[in-house]
This record gives sequence, C-alpha cells and structure tokens, in this order.
Amino acid sequence: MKQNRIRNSISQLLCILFIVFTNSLLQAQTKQQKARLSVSYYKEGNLNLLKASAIYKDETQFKPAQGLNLNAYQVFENDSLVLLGTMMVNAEGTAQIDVSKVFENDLLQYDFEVEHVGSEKYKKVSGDLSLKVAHLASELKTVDENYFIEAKLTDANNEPIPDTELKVKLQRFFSPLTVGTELYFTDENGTINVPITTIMPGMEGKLNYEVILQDSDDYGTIKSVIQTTIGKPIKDLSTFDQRTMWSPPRKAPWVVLIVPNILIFAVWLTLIILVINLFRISKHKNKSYEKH
Amino acid sequence: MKNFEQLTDDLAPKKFGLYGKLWVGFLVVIILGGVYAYYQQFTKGLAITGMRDYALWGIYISNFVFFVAISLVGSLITAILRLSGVTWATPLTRIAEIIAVAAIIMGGLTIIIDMGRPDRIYNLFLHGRLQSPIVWDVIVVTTYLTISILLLVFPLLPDFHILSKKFKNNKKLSNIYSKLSLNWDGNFYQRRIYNWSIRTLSVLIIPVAFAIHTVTAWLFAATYRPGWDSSNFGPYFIAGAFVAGAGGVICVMYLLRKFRHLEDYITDYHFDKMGKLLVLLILVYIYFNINEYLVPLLKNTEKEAEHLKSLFVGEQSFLFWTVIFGGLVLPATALLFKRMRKPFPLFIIGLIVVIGAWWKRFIIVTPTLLHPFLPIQGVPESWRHYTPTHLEWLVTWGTLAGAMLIVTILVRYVPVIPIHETAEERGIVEPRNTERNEAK
Repeated sequence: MKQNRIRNSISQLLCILFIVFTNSLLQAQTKQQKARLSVSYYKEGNLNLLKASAIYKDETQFKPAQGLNLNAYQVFENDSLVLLGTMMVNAEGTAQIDVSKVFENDLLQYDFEVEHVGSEKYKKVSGDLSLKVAHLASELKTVDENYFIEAKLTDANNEPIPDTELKVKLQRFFSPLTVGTELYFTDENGTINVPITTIMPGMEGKLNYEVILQDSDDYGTIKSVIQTTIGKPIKDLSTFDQRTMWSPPRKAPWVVLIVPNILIFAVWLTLIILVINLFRISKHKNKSYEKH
Repeated sequence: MKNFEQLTDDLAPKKFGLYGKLWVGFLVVIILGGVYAYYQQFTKGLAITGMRDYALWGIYISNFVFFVAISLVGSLITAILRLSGVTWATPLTRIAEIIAVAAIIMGGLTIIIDMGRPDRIYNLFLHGRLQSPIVWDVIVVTTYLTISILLLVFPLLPDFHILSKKFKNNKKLSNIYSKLSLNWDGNFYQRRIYNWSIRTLSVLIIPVAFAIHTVTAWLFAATYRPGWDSSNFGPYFIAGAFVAGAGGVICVMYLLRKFRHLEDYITDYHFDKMGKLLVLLILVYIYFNINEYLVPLLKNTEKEAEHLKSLFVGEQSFLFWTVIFGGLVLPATALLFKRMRKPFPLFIIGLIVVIGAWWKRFIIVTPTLLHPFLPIQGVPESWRHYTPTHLEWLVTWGTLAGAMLIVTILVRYVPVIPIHETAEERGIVEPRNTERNEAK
C-alpha cells in the first residue's frame, strides 16, 4: 500500500513537472516582444518623409526591432484613417515612407498614425504624430564681400515663426561642420542671419550649407540646403577617367596592353611553331637517305 | 671506351628495386596525407591554416616561390651553359630539365592551393587586370611550364628512338617508346628541325625564366611593405633561385649516380664543377643579401627597423641566422676546399642549401606581413604571429612529395642522361648509322 502511494505521488509529480515544462516551453516559443515605437517627420525640399524608429528590450539591452512591419495612416478630423503605405524596420531599427503627396492637400495640420498589427515576434504597437506645416527658406547673401546665410521660418499662412532654434551646418564628406555657434534663434520676423567667417575648400569651390530645424515638437525636422560656389577651389586629382596602372582592366594604359600582348603573342607563336615542329619531325620519317 | 650497346645498357631506364619501390610508396603516402589535408581546407576554408588577416601569405606562398626558384635550374644548366658552350654539363641537362618540369608543375598547383575559393579561379581570367603582377605571374608560369616541357621532350626524341630499339624484345614497351619518339630516325630533315627547335628553346627559355622569377619577385616588391620595398628584388630572387636549383641538381645527380650506378657518366669531375658553380652562385646571392639587408638598416626607418630587428635579434632571428650562415656562408666556405666538392660532401652541402633555400623564402614572405605600416590593432594576439598548422604542413609536404614523385616517375621511364648526346660527344656511333655508312 505504502509503495503504491509513493509510486502514485511520484507519477503525479512527474505529470506536474511535464505540464510545467511543456507549458513554459510553449510560452517561450510564443513569447512576443513589446516594441517601442516613435514617429517623426523629415522634410528637405519637396521630399516629405514619415519616419519610424522601433526598438525592443532584450533580456539585457535595447535592440532594433528589425523586420517589424508598420502601416502608415493619415488621420482625419472624423478619426477616419487612410492607409498611406507600409514600411519595414531595418537592421538599424528605422523605417521611412515618402508622404510628399499628402502635403499637396494644403492643410494647416496633418495627423499620422503608424501601427504594427501584431505578429509572432512582436505585440501590437502604434504611435502617432501631429504636425503643423512650416516652411524653411534660406539663401546666401553678400554684403561688402562678406557672406551671410539668411534663413526664414514661416508657418502654413506664411506668418513668421519667432524664437525657434535653427542649426546651420556645412556639408562635408563624413559629417557636417557647424557654422558659427551650435544654435541660432529666429527673430520676430522668423529669420536668422549667420555670417560665414571661414571659407572652406570645396571641389571646384562648391560648398553646400544646410539650415535645420531639428526635431521640433510642432513641425518635425525641416532642412533647407543652399548650394554655393564660394569655397576655395580644390583641383580634382581623381584619375577615374584616365588609363592608369590602378584602373580596372578596361582602362589599362595602352602601353601595358600593347607591349605585354606583343610579347605574349611572339612567345606563344614561337611555342606553337615548336609544337608544330614535333608533328613535322613525325612526318619526315625516312626522307633523309636520298638527301645524304 | 664503351660501345653504343654498353652505353645504352648503362643509361636506359631500369625497373625500380626494393629501395625505389619503398621510395615511391613513401611519397604516395605523403601525397595522400596532403590530399586529405587539402580536402579539409577545401571544405572548411583557409581557417584551418595559420593564416589570418595580417599573415595572409604563409608557407604555401613560400613553397610557391621555392618551386619557381628550383625550376629556374632548367634554364641555367640546359640553356645558359649549353649556349655558353659548356660541354661538361651535358650529363646534367636531363636532370635539370626533369627538376624544372616537376617544380613548375607543383609551383602552379601551389598557387591554386593557396586560394581560399579555387572554384572561383575563372574570375582571374574574366576580371584579371593586365596591370597586375599576379596576372603576369599566371601568364609567365604557364609559358615557362610549356617551354620546360618542350625542352624536356625535344632532346628525348632520339633517346626514345634508341630505347624503342633497345627494348625490341619487349614489344609493348618498344611500341610505347617508338610512338614517343615521333618516328625519329635521325634523318637530315628531322635533325634540322630538331636542332633549330632546341636552339630556339634554349634562347627562349632564358628571358622567360628571368621573367618568371622577376615577376614572382614583383608580387612582393610592387607591394609597399617593409622588407619588400626594393627595386633589387628581381635580381635578388633570380640569384637565390640559381642557388636553390643548383643545390637541387647536385642532390638528384648524387642519388641517381649512387642508385643507378652512373659513376662513368656523372663523375667526380662533374661534382667538382657543380661545386664551383654553386660557390659562385652563393657568393652572388650573398652579395644581393647584403644589399637587401644593409641598405634598409642604414636608412633605419621606423618600420624597416622593426622588421629588421625581428630578423636580426627578434622572433625570426634563429631562423634568419641559421639560413644565412648555415644555408649560404658555411656552404660557400666549405666548397672552397676541393675535398668538400667530392660527391658525398657536396650532396650534403647541396641538401643543406636546398633546405636553407626553402626557409629563406619563408623569412622573406612571413615576417614582412607581420610588420605592416599601419599598426596591428583590435585583433587577437595570435593574429600577430604566424605558425603553420599541421594540416598546412601536410599540404606543403604533399606538394614537395608530388614534385619528387614526378621526378621519380620521369627517372623511371626516361634516360636521366641523354643517350644520344652522350654518344655524340664521346664519338660513339649508333649501329644503324654504321650499317647505313657501310651500305653507302
């Protein structure tokens, strides 16, 4: 009796352990990650991008929510949604979609929603963005041979937006250089005037300055680029279009193409003649006796 | 004086005895080991070797340079000495040609072995740049191999004809030699074509031989690295190649003389001459070595100094001084004495020179790679050094055994001393010619 009781207890314990184990295994297999989603807006010229950034917390650290599928919607006053398109989060944890057509409607404010409907790996998550329209115009001005960058920030009604932070930078190969101080504040006319004190070198004198309204809560990120030719010209030393020893095969120097090929041809022609000579020797059997 | 029959008996290929068979078996075992190791490399990649980001050329490339160096002896003895009118080298020409063919075949194979993805070799032909010494090397190795084979084949035609008659009792063997002789009967037309072809090959092989080792040297010299950045590298490599090749010929001629009983043909006189030639070649090579190491030492730029320090007193110093003194200075000094130019001492010296030549290539290739101009950073400590793995050694030994097997097979089936030329030089007339003369 006692043995039976012990046996029953052990089998009950094993059953419980099996259920717990398989349950936790199933849970582990179906455990969804909770992604954190943020939505932003970027404008440069006529390009309007809706950007999303998605990360999730692993056991130890935040990681990009790569592969997360997102639907982008425009939200209207009556809370109706219009699907703008879908995007997928890349290895860096970002995704973007071109929404330039949306801005052809000339509204004062735009509302967007980005949503992930849920998948095996990620739970349902959404983020929204409410955006006012702003315009950033910039130009290069010359006063007494001194250069200035003048930029003007206006809203949808063309009214100036004062006391707003703008950055002015010079585009370089690796990352832009700050021009003057880090930040400039727009005056009551919505403008800034930034003197260019140092003229940097540029390819054929080309220097591109950019004025940026960065991560504004109301307007998003807006960038305006001024292309100038005021830089100290750099002579183009590139040999890309020339025939050089370091060019690809089709742009090898003529001398390298001609001389070795003539040598190769001459040597191999001689070798072919020598191989033919083997056949000639073979053909000339017993022809010598008359000659001797 | 020997008659033609005795001469043919002495020089005709013979079946291997017990030692010969054991030797072939030994080589086959090593080759199979090499094939196994290469299979591992082919399936798992170059990660099975000791080569990493910095030491990207290891013993495979050292081995390749060694093979190319050894192969140059074909041009030295067959062409340069022949065109210079040196008659004492006649018994050695075939040996030199056999070594050249074996070495260049295995040299070409070694380059493919060094490739991580040999299945992509076609890209070399699709996208190869004619500006690159690597492409030149491929072209010149192929050309040199073809010339070496032709230079081996042409002088063999009369010998094959002689052998076909000698083995007339063995119909199968006689037929094979007869076919290989390409209907040679020594008539006027055949001799004219034959002489022209050999003269042409002898002239042609010299620039191509110089080109092959110069281009191999440029693989290094065209790369801006400490130890390789030298305009002297081409002649330096050629001088070293002649030393290695002459050492190789001395070793093979000693072994053949001993096991094939060729004392009447490869005499002490030949050893004495080869010993003197080797002294001359080593002295020239030592001169180039002084140039290669002294000039950078005087300049003493930071990276060159670091590289030279590793050779002179650092990690590679034991190997370096062993090679310089053991492989060059001591052999050259010893060979100045006549008794050291006797067959056995010369064989030992030749062997030391050849082994020294192999390690010399190693200390040319690897230490430089471990002293790049940009500092080695952010890599495991083991990547700062290069130690070949067992599998790498197995592959390398496999290729060396492969070269020796080619030599062995050729020694088994072709006369190692040209019968026809030896007969002509000794004024021994072939029986058929006698009959012909009598008929006339």
